[in-house]
Amino acid sequence: MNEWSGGFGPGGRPPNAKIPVKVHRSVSLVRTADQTLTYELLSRPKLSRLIVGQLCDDVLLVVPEKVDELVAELKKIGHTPRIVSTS
Amino acid sequence: MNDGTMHEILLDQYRQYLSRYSADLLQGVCEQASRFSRAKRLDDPVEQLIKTLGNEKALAKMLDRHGEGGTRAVAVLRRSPFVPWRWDHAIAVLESVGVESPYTLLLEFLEMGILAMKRNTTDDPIVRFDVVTGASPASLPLVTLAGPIVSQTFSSFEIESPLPSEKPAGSFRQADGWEWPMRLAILWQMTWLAPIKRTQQRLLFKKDRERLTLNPLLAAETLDSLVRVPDPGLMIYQLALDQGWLDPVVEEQSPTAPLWQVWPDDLAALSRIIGRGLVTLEDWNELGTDVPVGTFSSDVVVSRQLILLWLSLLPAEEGATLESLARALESSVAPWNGAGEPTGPMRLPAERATLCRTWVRGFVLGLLYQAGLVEAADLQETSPIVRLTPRGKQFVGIAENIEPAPKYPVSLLVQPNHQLIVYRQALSIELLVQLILFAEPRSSGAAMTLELTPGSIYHGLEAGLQPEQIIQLLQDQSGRTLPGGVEESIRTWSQKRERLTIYSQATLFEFASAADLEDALARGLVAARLTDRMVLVEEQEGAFKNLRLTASRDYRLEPQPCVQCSPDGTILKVNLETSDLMLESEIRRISDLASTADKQGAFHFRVTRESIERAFEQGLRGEFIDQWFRRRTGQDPPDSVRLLLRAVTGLSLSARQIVVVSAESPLVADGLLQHPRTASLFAERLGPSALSIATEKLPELRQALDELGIPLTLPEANAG
Repeated sequence: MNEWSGGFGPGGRPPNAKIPVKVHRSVSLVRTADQTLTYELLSRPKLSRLIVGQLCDDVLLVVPEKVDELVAELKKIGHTPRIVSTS
Repeated sequence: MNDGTMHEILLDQYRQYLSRYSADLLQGVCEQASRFSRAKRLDDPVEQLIKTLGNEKALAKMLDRHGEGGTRAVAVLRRSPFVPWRWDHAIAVLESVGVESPYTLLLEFLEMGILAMKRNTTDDPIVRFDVVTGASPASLPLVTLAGPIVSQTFSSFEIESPLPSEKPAGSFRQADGWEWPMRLAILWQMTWLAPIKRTQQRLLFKKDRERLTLNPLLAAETLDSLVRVPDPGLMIYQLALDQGWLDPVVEEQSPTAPLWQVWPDDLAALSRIIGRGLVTLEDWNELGTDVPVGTFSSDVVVSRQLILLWLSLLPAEEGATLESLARALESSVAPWNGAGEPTGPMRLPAERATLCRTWVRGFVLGLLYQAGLVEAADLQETSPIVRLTPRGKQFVGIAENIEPAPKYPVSLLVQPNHQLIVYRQALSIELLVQLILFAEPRSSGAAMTLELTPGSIYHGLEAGLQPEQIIQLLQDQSGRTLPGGVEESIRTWSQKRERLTIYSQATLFEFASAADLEDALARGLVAARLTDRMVLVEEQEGAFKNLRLTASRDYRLEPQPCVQCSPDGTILKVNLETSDLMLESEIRRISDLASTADKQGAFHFRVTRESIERAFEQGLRGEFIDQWFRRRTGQDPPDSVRLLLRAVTGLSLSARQIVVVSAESPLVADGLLQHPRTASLFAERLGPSALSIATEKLPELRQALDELGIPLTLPEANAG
């Protein structure tokens, strides 16, 4: 992901000029406490089909409309995820 | 009604009703009322109305034109100040107490502001007081008596009770009024954790009905039970639904808000709201499964209002027997008087009389007694004596101050086994609505027992509580330090929740380089770093101060085409302005990175036989890849990619030698294909003037053309 997805504005800019940024809104994510937990989630077939990518060691991308399903599945296997509905 | 707070509540209620009037209608009503007052006019029509109606002389003049019926109607309506009267119920009650032409009277009351109207079905302003005759009951408007009239003690509005007053031999017994609030809180938690589901016809699914009827806490016998309340779980559910504490529209019903947001702080105020709900219940009634059909559900609302009216008219300190209430109903109102078109058992006078007494017991000793609105004496007698409690008198608008409930410094006991024992006499609304957020109710007898579990603490945290708040509340209410194990459990269970965080709608900022990200953070951006170029922003206010938005992607919307195919179809070029975070994992499943960012910052991926083979090995199929191209490029897959897809699934080609016969024109080619000597010799038409023929058929073609006198020139290799 890091290799390619952000190269939308290469080139220098004057000091204190505004910094170009791309904004991703309403992204569904799971953030884990450590990489082991990430592996555990990815190793479960029912969970992994709800995950569309891995942003970094502790952040997974979730299919946007499948968040409720993911939460229900996590609770079913004993996790108690903190749910942040907006950011 | 000397209580200043009650006075304000009633005035506010009146103001809320008037706020739904159009400006013209409000002005008209105000002018009508002001004709009866000589006092100086106020600019605000609402305040002018309140001033006029609060003047006893002005009100007496208004009512003069309606004779005794008008005064009697006001006397009746003011005994139900907290219950909105549905139009048909108001007419039925007024008819039953001898008011003539109640429909016309109510309209005239509305025009003078003595009554205020609210519509159930629309939020549009009310422009006139029309009531459609024959409209469905649910669409009929609600009316309420003007607050200034209720909250004044006008002596002219006294009427006599039709009930013979009685003094009991024993003392009156009163319930603590916690039974319904506790069950409502239990229902709130139940539906918060798992919604109640209904069909599209708004009928409960069997499983969800059983959740209400078989739940041991909702269905349990009441603690201080004088009569069995049928299906209390269903009653509580309907009560919550009618009061808007459960979403009344959707098929999966969850609480509309936390109880601490929608419940008042003290039990007396909540009892008034519950009382209002009990009086107007239509989808549940006191006879349970023995409910007669037809208009019974609506008729009993009138009966409930009459019972409260009659009890409110009794002399202070005296009560009435249940039998006298039943008889009064039988002599005045349907269905008990046999008027209208009785159905089922209500057609038989003896059955009707039995049902009437059962119903009266259910309403008075079941609903009202447990709500703390009625107290009862002589319970061993065949017909106990009942009267309104101070809380009940307040509910019907009689001037009465209620002693505030005593406050206890210690209201609960926290046990080492994580159980909480709450003493009912020390319970408060404030405590109940907090406990129900993070503790699971186990029993609701003389003391309410709740338990702390990993799940309950988790739900409390999800509701917005912090572990420290839970610990502090339990310590404050128990008056001592928590048992060590309990505090440790709360902290451990809370920490477990921090191991996984789900962001359902996160906002990520993606920078062009790690240096840009560092620069943004150094300039004050508050965000959590995810990668060297990406951060999670939890508070967007002020976040863009030093940033320039180059692209924005909303993941609630359908993905936009963000991939462009090269002319040969095998190179995929990613448009980074419209691409999203999911694209990379998708595109890498069917192609390989061909080059890093070009001058425009775009990345290129190449589709090869190997990449397609890998996709197939991972379980992707041609249909999925077709759809992916349509979604991400906005077009069907290029032919070259389709060729690769076919190649991977097993494609073979064959080659053969042919001779092409070139005619001088399409007309000549047509002739060759039609003439019987030549038609069967050609294999296919390659173009308008070009026909193919197998090499071995060439001599036969030559012979046929010779016969037709057409020379054929052959390449040297075929000339022989």
